[in-house]
Amino acid sequence: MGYESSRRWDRTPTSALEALTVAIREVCDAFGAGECFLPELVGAAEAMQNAMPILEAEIKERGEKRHSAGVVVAGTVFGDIHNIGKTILCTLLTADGFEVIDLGIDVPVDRFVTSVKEHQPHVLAMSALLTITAQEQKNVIEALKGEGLRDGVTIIVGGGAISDHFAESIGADGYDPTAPGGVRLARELLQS
Amino acid sequence: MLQGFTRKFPPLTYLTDEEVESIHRGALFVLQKTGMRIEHEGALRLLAENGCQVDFDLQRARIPPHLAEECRRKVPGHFILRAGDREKDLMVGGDAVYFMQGMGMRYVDLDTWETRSADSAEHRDAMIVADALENTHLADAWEIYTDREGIPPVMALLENLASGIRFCSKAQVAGNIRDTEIFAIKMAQAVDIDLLPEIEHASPLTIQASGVEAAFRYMDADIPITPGLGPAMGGQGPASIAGSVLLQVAETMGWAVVTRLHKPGGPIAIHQGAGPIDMRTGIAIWTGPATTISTVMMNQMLREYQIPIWSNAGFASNSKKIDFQAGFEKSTGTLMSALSGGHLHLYQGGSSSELLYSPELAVMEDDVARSIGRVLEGPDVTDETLAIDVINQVGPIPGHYLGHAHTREWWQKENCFLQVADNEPYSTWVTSGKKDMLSHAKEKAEEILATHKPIPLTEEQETGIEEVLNEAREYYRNRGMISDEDWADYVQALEIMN
Repeated sequence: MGYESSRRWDRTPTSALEALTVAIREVCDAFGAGECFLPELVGAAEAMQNAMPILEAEIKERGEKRHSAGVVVAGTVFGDIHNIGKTILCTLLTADGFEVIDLGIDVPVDRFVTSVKEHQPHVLAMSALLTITAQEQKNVIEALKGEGLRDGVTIIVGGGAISDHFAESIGADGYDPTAPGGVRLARELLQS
Repeated sequence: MLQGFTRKFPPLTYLTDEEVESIHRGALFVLQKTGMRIEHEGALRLLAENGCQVDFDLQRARIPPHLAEECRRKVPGHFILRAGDREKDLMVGGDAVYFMQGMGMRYVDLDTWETRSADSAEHRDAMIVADALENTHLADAWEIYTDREGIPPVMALLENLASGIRFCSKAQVAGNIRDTEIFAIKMAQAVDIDLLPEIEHASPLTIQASGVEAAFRYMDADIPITPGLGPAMGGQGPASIAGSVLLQVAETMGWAVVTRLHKPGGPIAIHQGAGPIDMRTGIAIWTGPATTISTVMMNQMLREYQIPIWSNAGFASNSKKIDFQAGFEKSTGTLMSALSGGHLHLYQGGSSSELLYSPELAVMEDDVARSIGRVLEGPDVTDETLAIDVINQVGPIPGHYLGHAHTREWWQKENCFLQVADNEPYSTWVTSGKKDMLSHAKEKAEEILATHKPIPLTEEQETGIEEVLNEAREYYRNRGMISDEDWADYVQALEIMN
């Protein structure tokens, strides 16, 4: 299905995107209220993710601008192959209006650095489930400092092995134990 | 004498022959149609040379059924794990049932229930307790307290293994993050023991380069491996239990193929344990009915293939405390796995979603392991135990059995006496301080630490271990994986340790 379908409904691409955003926020609210669950939330977010490239292309062609909550680069750190928490966060961020670049799992330090250079994200989100790999988050932050990139990006961390204390000790800007909390944290940090 | 327990009756099963065949056939179909992503050039070349359809760009190998069948048949049904104390060697496979020291990343304060990094003395003490526990057959020094105070994360696993070898003479678990297998192998060789390394696996249907590399390294050193399956149902695997089992069976055969092509006779055990995601929160539930059902089904499939089994069915509750939830979730999962033919059970001492390890919990769960082992051994039905003559002799009331020779002969044999369970009369319980099982376990752990002396390493073995650690320290420093700041802390921690 392409943009033609929404054209048939007499919608502009911007208004179609707005409608999707409203819909996805309703699903997020329902998730927060315990009225729907992750499969519904992720399914809705994936529908939105599928629609985005089509709508974005049309918005660009018309010379219009899309409102974005911000750009996020996200990944699970080197040595860690745990995927689910990071994937849920990326999905929820997308649903909340962020543009997300998901680097996947087992992401080496230099790939995070390169990606920050390339995409100049507002937020860098890193996940680590294990205490062994949590230190990689610090290594990434140190590498960003070394490249003079640290101050240009808000860094949030999460994962089973992470705590507030740890996040503070490695110089991250914020930590939340849950994916929905991670989305709220990203928004709050960008607004502050 | 063989360690562990023997299940003396047929294993519990769920599946009919037709259902076993459906799962097996379905897994073969997935392997041929979709295949597995194997992120290792050498392994992909091996697969291509042996009839797999390989897309090197996508790192995808589609495995023909005949190869999958042939390879899974070649997996040895038994293997030996040599311990530091040869009396504690294990023979994994068949109807043997073993319990393993559990895993948990951090030390837990039993008053506040908050977790923190563990220091070297706490790791040592945990291993001494594990060494003393009679029903803990395989040690997991590698995976307890991976958060070590003052020790760089990349060295924590190796320092843990060294501590395990020094203070516990049982066979040891190991693993493979960031080349640690190179040094784990050398350590095992320095003291002439076997390891059972858990190899990382990424469901669905993916084996990472580091996993293949580590598996090959361990196999080349004649060390058995255990690929760590266990998809989160609804995330890394289907939400349906049968689907998650089928996925794990496909992944099992994928591993059988990769490992057989590298070393046909190399022993492996499959580490299995799918658990559902709580879709209200995103939290994985690793103990509970769905995990248990999946475990029983996987045990049946793996026994059908005669592949040794590492079961995670009772390895960690999500409870943050050592409480009723942790107790019932962990023990029921472990019991059901043991009844259905699991061989190695990750169990004693770990909980809170892998976050905590507690020697006191290990002491309590050693009692549970003893109880499960007794149940597995089942009844002894002979003329003597049927006791027909005795029943006739005693007759009705006022007859009783207390003074009978038959009672003296059998009361201890038939029962299972636990170390820290409370079986005191009520009045004794009141006068002795109203202690619960955890209180008894604390006292038992203290008693062990005051009295138990692990078998010391020889000077040569100690030197060998230290040389390997030094080599590893240099290896990771040279690669920039230990910063100067971390190194300074590490040196200080080593001084305290010594």
